[in-house]
Amino acid sequence: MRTCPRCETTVKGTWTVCPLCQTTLKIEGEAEKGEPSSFISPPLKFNRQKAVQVFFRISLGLVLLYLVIQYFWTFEYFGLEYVLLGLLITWTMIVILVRKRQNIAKAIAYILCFISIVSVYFDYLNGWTGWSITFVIPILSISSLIAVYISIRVVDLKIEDYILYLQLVVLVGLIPLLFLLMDWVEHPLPSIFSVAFSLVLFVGVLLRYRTMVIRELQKRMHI
Amino acid sequence: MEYGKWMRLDNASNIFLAARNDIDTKVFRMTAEMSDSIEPTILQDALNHTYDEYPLFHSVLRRGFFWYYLERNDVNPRVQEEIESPVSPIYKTDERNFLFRVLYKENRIHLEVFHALTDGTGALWFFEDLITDYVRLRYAKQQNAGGEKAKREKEDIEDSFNRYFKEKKKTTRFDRFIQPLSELYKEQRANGSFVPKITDAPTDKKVYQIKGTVNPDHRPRIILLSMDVKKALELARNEKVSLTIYMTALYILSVYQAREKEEDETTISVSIPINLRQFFPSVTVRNFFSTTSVDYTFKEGKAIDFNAICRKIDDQFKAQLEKESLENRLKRHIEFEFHPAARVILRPIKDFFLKVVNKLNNRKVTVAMSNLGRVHLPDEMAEYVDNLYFYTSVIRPQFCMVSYNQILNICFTSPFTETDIFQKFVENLTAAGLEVTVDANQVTNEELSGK
Repeated sequence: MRTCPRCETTVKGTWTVCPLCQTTLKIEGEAEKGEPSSFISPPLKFNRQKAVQVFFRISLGLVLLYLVIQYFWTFEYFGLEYVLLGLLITWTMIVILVRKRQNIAKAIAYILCFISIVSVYFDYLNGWTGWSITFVIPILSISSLIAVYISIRVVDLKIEDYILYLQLVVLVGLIPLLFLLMDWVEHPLPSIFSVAFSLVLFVGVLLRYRTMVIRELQKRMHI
Repeated sequence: MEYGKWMRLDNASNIFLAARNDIDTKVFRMTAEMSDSIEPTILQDALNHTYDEYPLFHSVLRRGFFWYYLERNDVNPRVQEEIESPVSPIYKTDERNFLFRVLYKENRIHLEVFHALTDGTGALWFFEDLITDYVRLRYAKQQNAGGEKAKREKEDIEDSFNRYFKEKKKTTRFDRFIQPLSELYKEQRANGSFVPKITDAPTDKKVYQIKGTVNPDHRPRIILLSMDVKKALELARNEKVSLTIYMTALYILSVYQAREKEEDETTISVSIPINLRQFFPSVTVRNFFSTTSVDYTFKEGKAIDFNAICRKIDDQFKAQLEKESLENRLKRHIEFEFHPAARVILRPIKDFFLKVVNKLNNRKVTVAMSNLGRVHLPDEMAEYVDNLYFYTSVIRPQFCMVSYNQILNICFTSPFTETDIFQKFVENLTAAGLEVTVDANQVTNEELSGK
């Protein structure tokens, strides 16, 4: 039996000092064993204090590195904003993919929206040549639809889990219709393909899974 | 509820979803220590059986545009061996996981529940039925083991908040729109203050907040104290208060003794949940509770009178248990939930608002306690169940008490490594003549490596 002389308690488990007051425990009788504890002791998963330390060190290192590079080399070929934006996109993509790893259709839908917005922004930064809406968004929409189609065949996903995201991707694919109508694009072919492809899928899904779509919407949109 | 069917969350659940984080996972655990080591296959059979009787436990949590909702799942839960630290997160976004888990290790069975599913009472019913089934199956050969299970009277998916506190006769939408706001306004006028108060805290004083070193991997510090329930009751009777009030008062005193007094006045408040089933007849398995809070202000230099603390918080507690005051508060909560404007706000924004309200509420709470009272198992069962206790994940040091088989179990959980408050608490108990057994978990690398 292990007892704490200060707290005047019996202590379970393999403690050698009192878990409450850190006084050395008095061990009597069958010294080694004591009464077993009810708690398991899994190793630490991570260490908060250490993680914070490492994070600060790395950040500090990066800042110093940046200052040193800046001193010797002044980014003649491209602006720093591209480097930063690139890093930002990398991290955002990682966050989206990790957070949405359970539902691949959702991850694709989110990435499609994210990349579309980013490409429009890049285009704007570069003095608006229109490449983002002419090529990026329509082509990305078509490939996303194909990607969703393939991945739901490969991964075991319930219809109700992906159907709304499939429709979301389809809706993004329909946006180029606006570009066509407003005559914003020089080369209409990618947009025409995207709109036609999306429209067929949209109507097809609605015809086949109408009740499912309505039920999912009712469930998710209840107020 | 058939597969694919869904239902709204109850009024209390939304706050758990907004308030949960890595440290306070809003998961609580019940543990039964059995007389023999656990047979996993039999426990699985028992779980299958109990699970069939509790449709609510078939739910998974999903996210909609405006609200979270519960949806029925079609797979069966599996018992798992306990390998992770207690009360680790259960609800993970986008995963169709059950909102509870059944674990076993050596001679212990654990039930862990995400609080948005049900409260302590609902979980305890499930847990009692689970261990009854287990004992019945495990000791089938012994005569009468477990006996025949009495049919439990319960309403599985009834939302009792709505049954009792939702106004049904309101005619126009406009009324519903204006009602909670005008009431709040009236209340403010009565209080003489003009700034709307959105928290429920009864005190306007600055409330002491416990600070400490957060545990390295966010597992909670757990201190389980076991003692004789009769002797503890005697102590409470000497002060002429209930055991809940006695332990709460002792806790307030221990916090004050353990921590430095920074100012002339130190107000320590304790949040206490109340089981509403005892005031508003209901046998729902879902959440049906409310919280009250009591506080005591110490004045620097003035002698501490333990009996005065007991008296003061006993009076406060009783006043808050008045049916009318409970009713008014809950009605307002429901009115806000069903307020037309609140309903059409997108869920992430609602979550944000609830987070803010929760933060403000937390500033008025020093510590918390929760009492499940006495758990009684049939005599044929008691032979096979040695002990039973529960505890919860926390954002501030809290204790959960339950008595079983003449043992009073007080289980402290804390997000902080420090144990000074619990040490004072134990010291006060032993000084009053109680024999206390301490069981603690290990949270730092030094403790784990056996230093």
